[in-house]
Amino acid sequence: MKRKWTGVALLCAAALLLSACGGSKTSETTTENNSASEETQTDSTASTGEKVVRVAAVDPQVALDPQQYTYSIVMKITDNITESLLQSNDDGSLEPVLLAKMPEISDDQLTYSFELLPDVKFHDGEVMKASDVKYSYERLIKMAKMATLLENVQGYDELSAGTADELSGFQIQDDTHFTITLKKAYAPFLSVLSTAYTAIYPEKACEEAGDDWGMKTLYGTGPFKMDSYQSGVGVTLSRFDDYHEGPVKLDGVDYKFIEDVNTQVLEYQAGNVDYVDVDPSVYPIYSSNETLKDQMHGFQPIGCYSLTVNVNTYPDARVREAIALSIDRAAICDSILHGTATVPTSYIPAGIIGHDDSLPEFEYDPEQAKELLAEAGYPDGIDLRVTVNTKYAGNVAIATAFQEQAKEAGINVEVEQVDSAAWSDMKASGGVDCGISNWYVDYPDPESMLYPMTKTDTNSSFWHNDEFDQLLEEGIATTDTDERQEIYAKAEHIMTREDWATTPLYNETKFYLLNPNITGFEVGSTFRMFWKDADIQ
Amino acid sequence: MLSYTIKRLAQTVFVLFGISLITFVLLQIVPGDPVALMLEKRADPETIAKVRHELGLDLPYYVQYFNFIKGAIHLDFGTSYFTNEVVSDALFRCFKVTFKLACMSFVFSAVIGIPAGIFSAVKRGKGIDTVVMILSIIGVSAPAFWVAIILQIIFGLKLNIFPISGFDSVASYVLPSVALGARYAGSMARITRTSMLEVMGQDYIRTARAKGVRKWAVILKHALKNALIPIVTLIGTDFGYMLTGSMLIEKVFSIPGIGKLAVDAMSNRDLPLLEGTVMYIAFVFVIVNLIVDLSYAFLDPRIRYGKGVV
Amino acid sequence: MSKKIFGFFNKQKQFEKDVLENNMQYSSFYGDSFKQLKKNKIAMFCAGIIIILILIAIFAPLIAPYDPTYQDYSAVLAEPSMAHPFGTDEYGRDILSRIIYGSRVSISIGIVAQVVASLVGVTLGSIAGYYGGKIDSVISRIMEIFQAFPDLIFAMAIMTFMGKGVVNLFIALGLLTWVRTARMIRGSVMQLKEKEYIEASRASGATTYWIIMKGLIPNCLSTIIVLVTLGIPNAIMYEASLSFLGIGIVPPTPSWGNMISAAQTFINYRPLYSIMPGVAIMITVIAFNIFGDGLRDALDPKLKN
Repeated sequence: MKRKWTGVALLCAAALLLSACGGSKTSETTTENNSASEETQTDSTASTGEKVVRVAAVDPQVALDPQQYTYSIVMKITDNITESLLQSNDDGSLEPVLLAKMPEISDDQLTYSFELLPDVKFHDGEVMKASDVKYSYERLIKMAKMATLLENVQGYDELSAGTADELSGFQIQDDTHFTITLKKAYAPFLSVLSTAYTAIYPEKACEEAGDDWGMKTLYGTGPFKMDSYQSGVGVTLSRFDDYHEGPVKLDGVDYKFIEDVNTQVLEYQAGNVDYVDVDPSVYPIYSSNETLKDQMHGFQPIGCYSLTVNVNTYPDARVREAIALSIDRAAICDSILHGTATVPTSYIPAGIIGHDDSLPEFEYDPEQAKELLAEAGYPDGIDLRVTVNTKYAGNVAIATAFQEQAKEAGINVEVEQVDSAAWSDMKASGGVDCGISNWYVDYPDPESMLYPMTKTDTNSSFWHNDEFDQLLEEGIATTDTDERQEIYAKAEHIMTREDWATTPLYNETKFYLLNPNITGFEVGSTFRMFWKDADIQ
Repeated sequence: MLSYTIKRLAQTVFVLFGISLITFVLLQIVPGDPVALMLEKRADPETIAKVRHELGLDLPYYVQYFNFIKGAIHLDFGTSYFTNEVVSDALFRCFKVTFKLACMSFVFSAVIGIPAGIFSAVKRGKGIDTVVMILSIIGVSAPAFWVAIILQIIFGLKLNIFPISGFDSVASYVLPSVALGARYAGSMARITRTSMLEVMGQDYIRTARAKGVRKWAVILKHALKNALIPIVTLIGTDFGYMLTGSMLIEKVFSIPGIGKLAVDAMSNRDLPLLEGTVMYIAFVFVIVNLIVDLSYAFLDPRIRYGKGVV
Repeated sequence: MSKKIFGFFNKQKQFEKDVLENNMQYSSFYGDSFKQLKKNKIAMFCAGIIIILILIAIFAPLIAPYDPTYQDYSAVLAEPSMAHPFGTDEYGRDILSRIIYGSRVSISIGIVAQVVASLVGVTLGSIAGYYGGKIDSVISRIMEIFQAFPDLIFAMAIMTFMGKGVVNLFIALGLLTWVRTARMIRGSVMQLKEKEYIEASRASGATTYWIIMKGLIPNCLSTIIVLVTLGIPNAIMYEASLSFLGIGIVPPTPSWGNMISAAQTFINYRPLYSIMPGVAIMITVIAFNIFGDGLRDALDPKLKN
């Protein structure tokens, strides 16, 4: 008995030593193995013959219906199945997709006249008609979740409250012509119609499918049709031969649901998927890896990360300014984000109206923060509870860095980590004193960026400012770009440099790995994934 | 025996009822709201109120719970808030995956664990005994999720023998079932060894050996048969545990089993789905325990259940 | 009147003596057991490892080459070298130092969670065992409910409810593991309460509290010690699993579980980062398991299986 256990202990020690040695050995051979797996990747694609792109995705676990579920992982898939009337480009311009030409706008900016492309077919073979467009918009409003996108359309309130069955502002002339009348001038309206939420569904099939819409059935006018959606497995799309722009080059797109992000990357390295999103934390490793660095692509989505302070907890703007001054954005961008992010000059990001490049970057000045706190009556500093959603691992690191940086300013930061469900609840109910959050535009217009800061309390700051709200009203009623630039720049100044309701932290770069054999695919700043023009060499 | 079984079943109903109540209360006190999560982008108060009403979340708590119990009695747990999938369908879908994984890891751990334990007992004190005992203690002491990650990188990525993730082929179950089965194999080897040593020390085995019956015949025919009771008890419980799904292994290998379903339901605060999953897990646990207790009595006639038994 | 009281006290003294003598027998029993344990070299070796681990945890600041939360961005994910034997993590923190500090979390969680579990388990177990009947039924059902409830879901709920943090994790893990203690204690108390000296003290009017605290629990002590020792590795594993799922110890506090979780992203490039925290868990768990087994064999052989 004794002898046996002594042996056990010895062998344990030996096993430990071995595993330690084994560990360092593997790290030396890493590069070789990578190039080896690269070769297998090329082989596997060539041997199948079919041009199918395999995309690593997270199981959305909900119906693939952006009218109901606004997660970006849903749109990543549906953007290839369904289409909206218009499409917005990286530079913010719009182009017609399902329309024969850009809509005509009446002089009072209230009535928009549309002409649909003739003979656009849905995947079930039906031809798209104006009534399908009307149906889709009415459904969006009835679904409630993203309904407010269309709140400026005449008849919205009645339909939303259930006192009317139809959207009175939508008038059908014939199968391809219709007009939409607004309650008041609303400049971003056409941009709204380019979002995935306003995708056009076939009325008949969608009604028949009921709760199965987006689960078992999903028809659109897009380049691919949905063959299957299996929970936990994936979504398979195949080419739609009657696509109105002519059949695309790919045979299909195969979304594989891989829950764990680390496993997703392993599957990419093993050559089993062609596209995978990667976290900025792995940037230094991939960028120094010979094989992977050319396969890694980055893009800056329009939006930003910000630190939002609840004005009910911290009613003094000087305190909020002090908080804004006590976070070292440049250090965070350089270190935690490995230089992949940039320090913003304004909350409204570059690429949309209202962005002001001439402003200085938001700075780190703990001394001034201290003075401001003293002025506001806190010479000994303050305690600050920063709430972070653990779904985004990077946020925890940033909050931790902020904790260190804020000490200089006499701010004692306590980091509170909560999961997504608790986070969204606390955010809505005012339980977040100070939170790190991100916001991306739904359509490239400053209104989409600033919307959460006005009217509704969807933003955790609960900040309201009459002048700001007034400017936003003006902004949507104005069509002249220069005038709008001035209006939104002014509104932003009130929000971020006078009232310090929310303070921009950084503009991130998102990264993905793409099989080098795939051409014609790029994710742009609109953050949408279209496989329409892609091909496999 | 029959009255004991009936009594135990009655207790089971009570336990399941208690579990459903605790689950309900836990979800009410835990911060987080499925509706706010669902709405994510435009979670303004009016929209939240509207959706809450649609889901019946604005009813008083006791009404909500009563409605749930009313359904649960008919095995109708309702539909998921998020997917609208019928809860029992979701459970069945995930059960099929978990069941396959459980079977494979069960076979793996039994095929490795029991013979290893027998060898170890027979070769007591020899090299093979030491090796088996070291491996078994490593198997029991290594965190399963860590073993999973290491297996994944070695056999999935580097050697490219088995799939890294997924669950569509038998091959893809190999790594998860090894990772999950390792600790069960370890404990099976240990219990088999102990149990065999106990039996082999007994007189009738020695007599058989003395009579010149061949060594392995004695071991397999007489010793193993008698050493079986504790082994059967253990593997029965182990299989039950496996059927409740492993959240960690399922996470690493991206397998949509019961464990993942439970975690997702919890993180989404999806009450119907969570109630269903928790009830399923508890039910399996209770039933497996009952079967093990009964089979214990069946295998060992010395144990009789009746009045006065603790 | 006064005579009555004195009589009571005399009786009280008498069975106090009985009980204490009974306990004395136990203390000589502990002496024998210790001798037996000392003969078990491998268990003693593991006891040595445990002591070393505890010393490492206590003197972590003296042993660790770096501050475990110090972020050195000039050396992010450095390969193992003389300066950093196990390399650095994604924030440039020294992995060796983090593993050393991680022992604080694991060991304190193992021990404190078991203390919590014992407090709850011994209290409920002895009440159930002593009173029997309805009280026993109720407590037994509670135990069954706790046992059948999926453990990680329960832990997730508790941690989300109370908020993340070391103290809350102590409580959550204690609540997760008390049932085993309670069951064992309940069984032991049921047997012990039939013993003569307890009968006698009950007959002489001792309070229930006194009987349980002085008469029953000391006699269950060996069971409790063994259960605590064998419960520690269990709690350590739970901590690692919860931290791996992101609901246990929160960064920047290093814990072996959250290190494995963070390292997973880099496993293909810095395998040591993933391997070493797992090895640390394994050594600790093995040491406690083997020592616990030895302790059980010496103190309370009937606990086996």
